[in-house]
Amino acid sequence: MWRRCGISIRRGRRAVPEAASPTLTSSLSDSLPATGTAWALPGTVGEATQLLRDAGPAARPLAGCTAVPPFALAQDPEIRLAVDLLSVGELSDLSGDDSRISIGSTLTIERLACDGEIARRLPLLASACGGIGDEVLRGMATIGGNLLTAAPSGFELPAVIAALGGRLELASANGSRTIAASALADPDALPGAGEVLVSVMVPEAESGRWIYRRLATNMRFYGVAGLAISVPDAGPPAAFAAAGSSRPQRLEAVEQALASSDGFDPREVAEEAAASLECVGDALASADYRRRVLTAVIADEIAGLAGSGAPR
Amino acid sequence: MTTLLPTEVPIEFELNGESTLVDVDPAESLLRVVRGPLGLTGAKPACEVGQCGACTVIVDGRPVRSCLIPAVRADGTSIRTVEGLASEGEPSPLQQSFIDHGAFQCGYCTSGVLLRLQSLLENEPKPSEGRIREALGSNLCRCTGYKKIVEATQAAIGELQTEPLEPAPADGMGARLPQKTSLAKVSGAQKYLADMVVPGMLHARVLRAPHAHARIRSIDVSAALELDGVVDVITFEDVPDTPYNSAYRNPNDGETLRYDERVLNEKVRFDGDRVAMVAAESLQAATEALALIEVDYEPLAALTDPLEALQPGAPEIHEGTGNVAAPAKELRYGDPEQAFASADVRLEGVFFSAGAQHANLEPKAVIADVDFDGMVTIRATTQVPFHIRSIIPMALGLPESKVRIIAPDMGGGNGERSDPADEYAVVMLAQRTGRPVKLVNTREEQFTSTRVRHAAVVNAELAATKDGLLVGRRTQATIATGGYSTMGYRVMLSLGVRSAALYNVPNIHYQGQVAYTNTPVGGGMRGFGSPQAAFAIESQLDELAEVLDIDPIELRIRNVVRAGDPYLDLGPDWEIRSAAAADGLEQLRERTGWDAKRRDLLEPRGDGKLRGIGVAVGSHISTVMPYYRDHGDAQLSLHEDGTFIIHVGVPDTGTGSTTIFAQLAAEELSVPSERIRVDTGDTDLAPYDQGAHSSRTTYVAGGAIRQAAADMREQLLNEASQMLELDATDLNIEDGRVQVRGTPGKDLEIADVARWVRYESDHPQRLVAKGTFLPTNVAAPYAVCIAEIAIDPHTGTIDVERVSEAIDCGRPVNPMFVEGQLHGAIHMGLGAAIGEAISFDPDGRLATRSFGAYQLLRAADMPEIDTVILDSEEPTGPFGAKGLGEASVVPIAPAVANAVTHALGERPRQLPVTPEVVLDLLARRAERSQK
Repeated sequence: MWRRCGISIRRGRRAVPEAASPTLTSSLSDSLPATGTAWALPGTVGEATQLLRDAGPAARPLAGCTAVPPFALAQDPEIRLAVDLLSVGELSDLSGDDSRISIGSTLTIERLACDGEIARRLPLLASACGGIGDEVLRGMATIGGNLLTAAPSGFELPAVIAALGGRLELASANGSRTIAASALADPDALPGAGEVLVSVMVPEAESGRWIYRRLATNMRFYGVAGLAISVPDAGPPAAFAAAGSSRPQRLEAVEQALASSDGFDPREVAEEAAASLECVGDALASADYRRRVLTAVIADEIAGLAGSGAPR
Repeated sequence: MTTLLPTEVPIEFELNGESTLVDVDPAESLLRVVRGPLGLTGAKPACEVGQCGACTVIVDGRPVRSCLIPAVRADGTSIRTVEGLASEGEPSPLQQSFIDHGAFQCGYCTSGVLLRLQSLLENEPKPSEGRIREALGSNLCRCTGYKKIVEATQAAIGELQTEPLEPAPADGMGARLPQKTSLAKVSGAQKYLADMVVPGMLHARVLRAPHAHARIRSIDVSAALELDGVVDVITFEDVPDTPYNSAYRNPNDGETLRYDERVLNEKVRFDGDRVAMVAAESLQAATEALALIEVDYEPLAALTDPLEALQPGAPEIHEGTGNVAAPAKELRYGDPEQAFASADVRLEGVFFSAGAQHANLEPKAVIADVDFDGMVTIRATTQVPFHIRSIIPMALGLPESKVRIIAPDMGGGNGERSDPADEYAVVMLAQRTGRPVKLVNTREEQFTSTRVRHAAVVNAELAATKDGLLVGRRTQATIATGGYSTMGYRVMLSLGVRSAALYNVPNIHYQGQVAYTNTPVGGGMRGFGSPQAAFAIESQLDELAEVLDIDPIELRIRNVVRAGDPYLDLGPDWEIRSAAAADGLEQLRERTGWDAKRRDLLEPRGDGKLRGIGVAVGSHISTVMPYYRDHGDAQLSLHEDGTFIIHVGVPDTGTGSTTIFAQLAAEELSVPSERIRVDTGDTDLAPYDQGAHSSRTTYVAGGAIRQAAADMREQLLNEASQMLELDATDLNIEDGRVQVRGTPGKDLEIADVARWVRYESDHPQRLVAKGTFLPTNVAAPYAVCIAEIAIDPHTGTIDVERVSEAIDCGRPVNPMFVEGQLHGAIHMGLGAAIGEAISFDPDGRLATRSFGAYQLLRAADMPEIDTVILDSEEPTGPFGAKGLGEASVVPIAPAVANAVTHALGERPRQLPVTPEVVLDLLARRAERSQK
């Protein structure tokens, strides 16, 4: 069943190399062309991180190239080395066990959207992926790019992965670490320039309910905000919003209300939750609109969750 | 093991079935590799950041955006481009269906669209309409509203369910012919300017201002000049200090134009204004040189609001002007004061229309070349080749005879290309370097640096009798022209006067003013002032209908002009000769079920949405007469093989005008239009014409072509009469042959006549005919729109469910093209209604710099569309035809605004009606209900 999109799952956890042997360190700068952008095809995560360390700000990791297309590379003379993460096979692994799924960072959004097993085990993620961009774009964009490019257009998945309690596995030349997806809310916690997102690990809830809403302008391609709520049967609910940036913002008022056995006024809870948001204004929507629409949608959705239940 | 690739690496792949080996820069896009070294220019660069889909190709069976694929990743793949869709020279079924159904206009997006849909059909042989629209969501099209694309796709798989078409002639007037360029457009063979290469050419890039308003303290280009490959860099210090106005047309422009532009400026007046220009051996070198130019700016306060800009004490964008960018205009007829004093009902309101972008898929481009004799040839994406042949020499101090303009078929016009911008500096670089120089805008430059629709604030008053007859209008309009005045005066004038041809309002007072602002420069855009006026007028008509409890359609029928009415602003000599707006209102009322829906849509449905239906009427022109001089010339020559060639100055922006011209000539000559070739847009070959603007192409240029064809017909009959030694009155041309009346069997091929004249007659020549059309009427087209919408009260989002539009364009030359124009107008009009707007950050920098921020409707956003071509005939037009391109966009946004008002009971007074505006309206409604 994992093969619908050509994915073969590997059971067990892959080891992230802690320190790869240097091969280009001393000569890297000499190897770069005087003009233009050199192209590196690392074979392993260790090699990729080493390139990023050695080239420093002159290096740019690339995967789906939807956020940094070749044209943008040509426009930016500061970028002298493109580190092609698609050449690292282990970054496209999809593996899992009974309790969680590990998603390689270069897997495309389309693969996650169309995979039957993802749809069954992580329907919130599958649902969100199916609404990103358009079909062709989804076939090229990666989950890693959506999570880490910090572009407003990639706002969907940080909130979703955070609501699912996901963690990001990061590697650098100095070693590896994991952070909670919810930590992406803090700019200081964001992965550094030399770090590579290896995988996204998402725990699978036994059962529960979930909500995902992608809010767009009058034209559905242009998303302006997102709301992801996960209410596992066993465990605390998690609620996150995106409000004009890729930062997932926790909706504590919503989580508390949904966790409480007491009744609540959805509108009051929504207003409290939305008031805590840092909303961004841009060409697509004002900060005020994002707050207002999130207030309305949060109220609507949590009323549903508290009432007759939600999908799953 | 890491592989570090050199900047040139060989890759091998299968391209359209053929093994291909090519050296590439691995970081270059697949798009550029396919178009460059491999020479397949079917995949188009339109944004190069993966947002539009024009560059779509199929890689290993999957559609991808080739601009997002680094070339190195193509190694070992199998790639299909549009050039590989045809089989043994025959179009694929999908390509043929696109041709048959008119599924493209300018064609710039077509190759990407075809490949996206080809890929869909190969994976899903019978997709539903919804699935086609979903898949098509990956591609932007500015011309078609996607409707004919979807229909062509359905037809290709045998799934198109439509009512039978009205029987149409096979050729000439009324024939549903495909564009003459159809095969080229579906096969990728059509060459746009960005596809063209001139041997030895340099590549230019423009350093554009990063500030909305700033003075340049110093500029140092030395480092850029030292970069390998850089040939020349120019700044304001290198250009003539000759002020000009890019909207200049002829000496009659007089005092209405401000001559406030220069080739390069010491002061920048909008984000994107030209600072310097580089010419280099490669695009990459030119791009890298931009980063090496050091500019010290003194930022100045930026103004984006035209009313603020005109306040006393506001920072001056052009010193000494008070930010007044053109003479104020006042128009008055009748006695408006008396009319308002005695009226039963008076209404007043302020209506704001945002600035907007043309968003043509083809970026603006120019190639300038100077020969040994100083003759300048400019290949440009321009709608007005003769116009820019006047203005560029004026700015650069050249004799007009030393400049030749060639305008190839374009990837969209919509008014964007009605005046030059960067062309002057490109010519200068060509002159200085002695090399051809090519400039192609990036998409970001398209947004920052090409013309836009003028934002407008319209303060409108309306007076009427209790029976709903309009008796007076007073309007004050202020428009934002951006950093330079260009067409500001003309748009402001148009905003005031064009609507005078729509409703019989005997007393009018109009005051217009134009303000400089630190925003992109305003220019011509489809409708040219009429959309901004219509928003106010059509909104107030609905208000009046509500106040008087008269149905909005009925109110319009009582007031709308009819044939025989005067053009009120022009005096008694100008009479409306055709006007079918009232018929359009009646027909759409019936077709939409208006009466029931006005009542029933307000009833709640299960989905919680608020529904409404609204109507609006719009008008524009078919010529700029009589406010400006207008005439068109055309030439028709006959080749000895019996083929006719039309030379005309109007380029084809994608509307299919070359085919229209051939149909008009075919009708007059009684020959098949396939035997008529049309050569457009070359100022050295074509006689004078003002160009593709003001919806004048069919009416004026078409009128000239019909006259040329009539002249040719007469010449042919005269020559044939000499050849046959018969009286010319005994002859006729029918079915492409010269026939002797009543004597079957004595027919002549037209080629026989042509050869006889040239090789056997005593007056050898090639037959050449000329035509001139001097408009004697405005020939205003009329459009009626009814929009049906649903609003989500939680989010404020508007879903436009159905749009019906009726058009009075006189006799349609090609109904398929008319439908296509309406579909495109609905796309643009809906954009203006619900999302399209340029916007700025607090420092005045443009916020809408990409297709990711500037909202365009995609296929799944488009409503169900119904169009009607009204029975009409303009007596002054060629075979009864008149324009339609602009009028058709005018009523769309007001109809949507009126539908929103119907749904909510609150009226939007700004366009676009964003979800935020809707939430504000809902909040206001709630406040009112509490009171």
